[in-house]
Amino acid sequence: MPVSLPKLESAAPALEAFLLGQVDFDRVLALQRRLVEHARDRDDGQVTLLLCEHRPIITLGRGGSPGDVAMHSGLVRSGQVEVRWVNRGGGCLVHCPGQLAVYPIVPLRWHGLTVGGFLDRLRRAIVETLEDVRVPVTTEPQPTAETGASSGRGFSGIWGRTGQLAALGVAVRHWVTYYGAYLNVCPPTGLLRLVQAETGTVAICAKQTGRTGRWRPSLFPLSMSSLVAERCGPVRMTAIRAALVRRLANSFGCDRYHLYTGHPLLRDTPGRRAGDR
Amino acid sequence: MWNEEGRERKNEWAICRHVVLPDLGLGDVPISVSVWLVKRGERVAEGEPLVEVMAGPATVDLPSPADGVLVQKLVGEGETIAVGQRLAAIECDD
Repeated sequence: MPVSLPKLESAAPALEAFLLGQVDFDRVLALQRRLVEHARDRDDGQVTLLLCEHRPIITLGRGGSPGDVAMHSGLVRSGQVEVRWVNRGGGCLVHCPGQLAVYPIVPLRWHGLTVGGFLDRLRRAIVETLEDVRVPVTTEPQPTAETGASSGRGFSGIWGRTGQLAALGVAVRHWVTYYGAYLNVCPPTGLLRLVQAETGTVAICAKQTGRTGRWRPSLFPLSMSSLVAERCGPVRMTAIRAALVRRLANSFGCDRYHLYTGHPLLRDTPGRRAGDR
Repeated sequence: MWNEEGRERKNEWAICRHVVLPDLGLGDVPISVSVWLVKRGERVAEGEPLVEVMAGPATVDLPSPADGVLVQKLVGEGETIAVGQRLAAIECDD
């Protein structure tokens, strides 16, 4: 009688998640670029995930405009909050403590994904994470005459009833992804006002009418918001991180994930150099 | 004349290959050239990023299909491009 041997190695890739704490934006960007080169050389489809927070900085993606930044603000004028262009997609974003930066390094070809497929999975994982903490969200803003939804600007965010909770901004090099998404968990509200969210209005079916008990769509101006504002109470960053790692592993078909604190390459990864774009 | 592989025998020694925008799976999201990473006349290696394109929330560095010299840019920065469109010509080494 044939004996089936236990399978020692799984064919599915692993997700390696590194919790970096609060790290300089340029050092994490340099680390991502190193990891892209490593991922290019690997043949096991490993997904590397960097989770961190940044000190206050405003970045303008390729789709951004300086007009979306409150340049007249004292924080910006005094240089306390740096404003700079970066080579990711998406618009203008403010980064600060309390915002979870999500950087998945995914080899697209190994996973048989297009760029659009990757964005869908990343977006889905974030939506499922927010649903895990009972925050109803939408990814489809209602098109209006002046918004880009119909003009193809490419809405990329995730909205709650109080405003935009997360934004996507991705770059792909050697068919490996870097950058990713930014989820506002508990950032200072004043800093979020330094940039304008994707313009327009969004319909959220989150307002329950008292008499009928039916969900009624409500229109809100698009502004940056956070999970704390959405839930009107404290939200633990650790709980969000844990849920997100699990959801991302599932979304990218990883059958296991491992969590690490810090990254061994971060120590010898310098920040911004002259000529970096 | 171009053959099925997108190769052209430009003269007796040089073969040219076009850089073509692949399907990025983004539906009807407009795609545009954001920046050229290599100057005309510069040498490139196969797989080396040649041009960055922007599509909604993503930028994608398109790699060179072969070792050679970038001899022609067929689109300018900021121009909207379509899937399957030729973006540049590389004069191959072999």
